Amino acid sequence: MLRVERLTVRYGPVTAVRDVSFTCSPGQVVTVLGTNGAGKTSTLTGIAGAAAGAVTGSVWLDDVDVTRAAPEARVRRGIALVPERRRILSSLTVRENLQVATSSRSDARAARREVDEVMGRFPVLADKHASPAGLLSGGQQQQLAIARALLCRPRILLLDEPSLGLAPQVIDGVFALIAELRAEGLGIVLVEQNVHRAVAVADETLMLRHGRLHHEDDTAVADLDKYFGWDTTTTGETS
Amino acid sequence: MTDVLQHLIDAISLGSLYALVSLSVAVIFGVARIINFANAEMITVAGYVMIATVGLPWPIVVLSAVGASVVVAVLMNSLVFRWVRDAPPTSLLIVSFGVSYFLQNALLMAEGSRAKTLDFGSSLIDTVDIGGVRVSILSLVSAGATLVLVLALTWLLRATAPGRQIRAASEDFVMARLLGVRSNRVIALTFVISGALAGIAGVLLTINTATVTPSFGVAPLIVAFVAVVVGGVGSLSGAAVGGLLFGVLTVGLQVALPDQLKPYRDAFVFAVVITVLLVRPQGLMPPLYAKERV
Repeated sequence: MLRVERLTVRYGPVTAVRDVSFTCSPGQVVTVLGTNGAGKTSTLTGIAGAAAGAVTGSVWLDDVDVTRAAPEARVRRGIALVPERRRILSSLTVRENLQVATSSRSDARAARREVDEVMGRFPVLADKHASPAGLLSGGQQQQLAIARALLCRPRILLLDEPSLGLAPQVIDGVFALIAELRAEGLGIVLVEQNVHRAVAVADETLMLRHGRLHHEDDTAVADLDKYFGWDTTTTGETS
Repeated sequence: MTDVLQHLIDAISLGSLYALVSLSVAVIFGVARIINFANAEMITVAGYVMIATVGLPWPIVVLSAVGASVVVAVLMNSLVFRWVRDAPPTSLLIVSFGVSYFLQNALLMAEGSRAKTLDFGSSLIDTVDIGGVRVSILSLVSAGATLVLVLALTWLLRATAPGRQIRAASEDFVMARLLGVRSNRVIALTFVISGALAGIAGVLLTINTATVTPSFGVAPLIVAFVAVVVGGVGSLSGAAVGGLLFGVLTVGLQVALPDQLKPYRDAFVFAVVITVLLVRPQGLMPPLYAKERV
């Protein structure tokens, strides 16, 4: 179980995240909603140990304090991040992107087998395994980013706007995958601007406003709708 | 015709040396983003170790010289750079200056300021006759060693797991760490590679000049910095090509310039460099991922 306690992320004088506390259990999807600049990405990078700013508070994974741990050490403990804008290693091939995610393994043969297994799950990656990852389409890159994170064998998966810039039918695939991973017992912290899809898949919804956490209430979601210019009554579920 | 061939071989040989030093700079910069002035002392140390061990069988001399460069490289990382890694780039630059001056002065204290001469591999200075072209053996060795090293480095980076991790960390260090790449290990490895490349360059340079001073490595290092920028910052192939071109340009102008202009050769070399950078500020072969991503 992931436990975040009073997480605070500061960039110089700006406090992006202030006193955020929540938990995420295996098989649970916690969705974090908020407008641009509300501190969603900083929350996830703070948990993963990759925030560029100063981080205070604490992050616990199964009662181990990982607050001081380097990002590579947190990965080994079981926290994997699919970052904002995916950050595919574009000069490496698709297969190499996946292989890098097995860096923590000592058994090279087992690692190779795992890469093949993941490519079995994402057939498009198997098709394109030898091409530079920078040439993939947005949806394919998102699959690669998630596949890469899964190869880190996470117990907690942090997903930062996985639907950003994708076509609607591709977004369907991403959310189907999220549901599938939850069913497999993965704990997922999901940051999304696609409010209704994200709320639909969530076991718990958190609202971030100006870096502070507000637990879900209808006014908060309605506020967000206003921000995006959406009308809650007409942008219901399409799938 | 044979003249042209001879000059060409000289050009490639000098360019190879510059390419080695450029690669040794670029491999560290690629991952750790350190512009490392202390690479000069990795080169210098190789020269002094050669002088100290001369008389022993030559493979031992070469291996101990290169080994000493690697040790110096690893030590400067684990004693200094490792602890300031998160400092801003300007601080890293100043730190590398500091390490460089410290080592130069340590060498000054240990070895004195007078140039030490090396009596080694005199047969390498000899020339051989290949199809009517007189070629110094050292030129061939320099070019051959560079070719072998570039191929070995390419293999290491493309076909091995540590090499893959270096490429991943060069493109996006934080993302590589988020995928489990150990930052300390991957940076230490770049220092080992850098030390080996600088050491071999130092060995070849020392045989070439036969004298070593505490500031021996500085001049080739400055050339390497320019070559790295011309080749495209962040790109290893760019660094190699930049170094090679710089050598070819230097020898080419040495040959082509009229006698009264020859003393100003370097001014012409840098005029070409400035022109290249005006036309292509990103360098000749910038890394692909340096482009704006959508």
